[in-house]
Amino acid sequence: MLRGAVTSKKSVKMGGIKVKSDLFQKFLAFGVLIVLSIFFGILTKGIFLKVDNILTIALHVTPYAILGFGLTFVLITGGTDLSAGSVLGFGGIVCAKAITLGVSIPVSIVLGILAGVLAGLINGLFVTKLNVTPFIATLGTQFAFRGLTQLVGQGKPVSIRALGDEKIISVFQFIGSGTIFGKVPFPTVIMIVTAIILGIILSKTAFGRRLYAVGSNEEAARLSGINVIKTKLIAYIICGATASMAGILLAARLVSAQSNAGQGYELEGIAAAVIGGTSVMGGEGGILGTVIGAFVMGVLRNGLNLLKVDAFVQMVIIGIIIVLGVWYDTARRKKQAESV
Amino acid sequence: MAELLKMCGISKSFPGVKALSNVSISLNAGEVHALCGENGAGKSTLMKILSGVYQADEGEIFINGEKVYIENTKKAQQLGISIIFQEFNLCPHLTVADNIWLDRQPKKGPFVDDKKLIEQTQEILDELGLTISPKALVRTLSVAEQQMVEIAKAISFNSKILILDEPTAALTESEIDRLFNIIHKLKSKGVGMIYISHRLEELARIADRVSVLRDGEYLGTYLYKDITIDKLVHLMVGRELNEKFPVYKRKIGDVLFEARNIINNKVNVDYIKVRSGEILGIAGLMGAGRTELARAIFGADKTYHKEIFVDGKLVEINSITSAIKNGIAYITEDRKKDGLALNMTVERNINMAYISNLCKNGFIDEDAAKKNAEKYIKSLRIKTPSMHQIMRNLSGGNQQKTVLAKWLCNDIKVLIFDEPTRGIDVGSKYEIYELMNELSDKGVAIIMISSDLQEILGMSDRIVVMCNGRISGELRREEATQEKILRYAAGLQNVEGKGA
Repeated sequence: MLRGAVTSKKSVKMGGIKVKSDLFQKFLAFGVLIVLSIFFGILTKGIFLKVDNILTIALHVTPYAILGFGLTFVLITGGTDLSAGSVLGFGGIVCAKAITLGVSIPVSIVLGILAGVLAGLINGLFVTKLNVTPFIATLGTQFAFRGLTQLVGQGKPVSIRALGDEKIISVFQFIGSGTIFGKVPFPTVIMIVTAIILGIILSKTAFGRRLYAVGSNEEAARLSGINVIKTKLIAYIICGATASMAGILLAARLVSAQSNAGQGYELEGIAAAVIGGTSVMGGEGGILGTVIGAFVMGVLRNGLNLLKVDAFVQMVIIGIIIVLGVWYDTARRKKQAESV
Repeated sequence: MAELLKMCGISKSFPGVKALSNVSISLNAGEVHALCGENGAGKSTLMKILSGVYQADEGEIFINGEKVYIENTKKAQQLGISIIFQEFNLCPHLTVADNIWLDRQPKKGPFVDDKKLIEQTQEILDELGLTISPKALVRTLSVAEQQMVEIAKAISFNSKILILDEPTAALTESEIDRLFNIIHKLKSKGVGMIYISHRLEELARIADRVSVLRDGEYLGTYLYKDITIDKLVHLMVGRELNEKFPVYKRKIGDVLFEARNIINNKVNVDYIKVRSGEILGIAGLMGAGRTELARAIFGADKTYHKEIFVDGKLVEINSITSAIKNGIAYITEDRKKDGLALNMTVERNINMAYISNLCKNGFIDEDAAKKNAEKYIKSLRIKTPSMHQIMRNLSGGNQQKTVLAKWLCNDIKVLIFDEPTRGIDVGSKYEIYELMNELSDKGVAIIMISSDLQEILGMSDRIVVMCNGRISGELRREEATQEKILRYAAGLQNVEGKGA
């Protein structure tokens, strides 16, 4: 039929553009990463590209990336979690406190992660059951969980060294900064495994599909029989869990849980996700992008450090990169909407 | 009549598509010039060029005989061109006065002169014979009233050229009458209007001339009185549309669906039933509670009380999930707002309500998902280059078919179809009707809610009319007429013939 033929011809073309822009989006973040690496490689006369330095970056990036994974889930639903940094501190300190109280390390880790799960559940309940805007709900819990963290540590760091048990100290230290397969930091391996698991959940399971559907059009998802509340709750719980994981790894690296650990990290996590192509409007995003996004930030920091760029100037540069990332995302969306 | 506007030889291409080629139309003062064509014919592109959203690749625009360049929407506004889109551009939290004079409020020193603002708003509202209060918040107004506010805003710009894009799509009969009164008033003031509508019947009441576009080509301009609807449709579609509704003999079976005592704060319905293979039309004015009834049955809204029987068995429907489990599907009236995830792919939209059935050991079986999507794209004749196309890029008719596909995946017994063909072009409408007939053939009981009386009369086996949340009348297909339906819809008791 004539009419059909014309519509589809039009869409083919648009489809072509869309596919290209999708690849471009992934390539863009990845391309930026490569360009930055070459750029810093040349300027630092190769120091930047040394394996040791790259592993340092990987270790440094790990907590941000893990935090970013959970945030990616929440962002895909169209929500946000400003409390993630506080939950990071909370998870870390609960784990460390448990160890100092004589609980075994595996159980302490589980307790730390459970603390994060609980925190995520609370956030999720505020957002879904009480219908508080995610921004406000998690702004509030950001204070609350930070307060709880301070209470557990009574304002002081909880140090494992104070325990004086060399075996426990060395095991905990290994979790935070040990290396396997030669020089690869253990936490980075954890990060990669987590990325793979969460990436599969997101792209290969019905839950993953529901997540995107909810973020894309909540009412359409609800009317399709998707349990929107449950879907969102799980997203917030995953976010809490990854935040506390990051907190435990950070505490393990320092062999001590700081009560102010993770302050501002939620914004780094959101930035990593957004640079990696996750939309703050919901419905779009992925774990691989967040890994790349976290590395873009880490590479920038490390490279600028090696070049001895002033720390304050670094902040300005990173800030600009984040805005450019979001601007690009918005412009792309607008173009997409106009191409109807 | 003076010629207000002339667009000559307008061409516009988007990457890979020639949206308009060599289109010329003109508009006289005090004229209503209808622009007809199916979705994708280029009407909107042409109007977007006129209103400065797009720029033409070729061609010239003259206003009052003077050549103009409309490089942006601001310029269009300065030239006295206003466009009223299907979706309104109003700030819901501001008052009518603030919306009309947005960013142009009269000032007293640094402050807004509220008294004057209200006065000048009242003036315009009076001029149009509107009874809306200038102080009313826009979000409290009905769709029709909001549209009036848009028109009032256009008048406040002293627009001489007004573009109305599907203005009646969301209006009821009486609201359409009011709109047409206003259009006649504007005509007498010398305003020229370009009027886009899929409802060809209503053009007879207002159009002076009509121009037809098909696939970006200009097919000619005719005096409305010299052309018949059949000829018009023929031009638009490029083929004869002998029947607007497919002729069909339905095989109606036993009662499949019954609902008793559906009560919530918007609806109070004692009893409705639908037989297998039957299409029950629900007519009524906007706000009569038709959609609310559908949502109550489907478990989307809270109800105080309801009893629903499927296949003669009482079933408990306290959530959407339980409705779906019992074979009830609901297709909403606004597919863009709550039917589709527009930035997701066709495949994901089709599988949205079915995804749990496509999992193997907790993981999605991608092959099964693709096969399922493929199957429905084929059987519903969804025109898309690939199942991975983004929903937004499909035409209205194909979007609607995708929503239908989403539900057909699940084994449905009862389909509630809310405004099945709103905003869909003539050819696609026919296809949707055919699909409804195919479903009825399979024994599905269909409840069709529609504001289009022709559709109600053309498709329903039985018609229920609602008014104020209650059923005000029931008509068999043979006895139903537009007049009877309208009388019931208006809540008038003594309808000639027999009631229900």
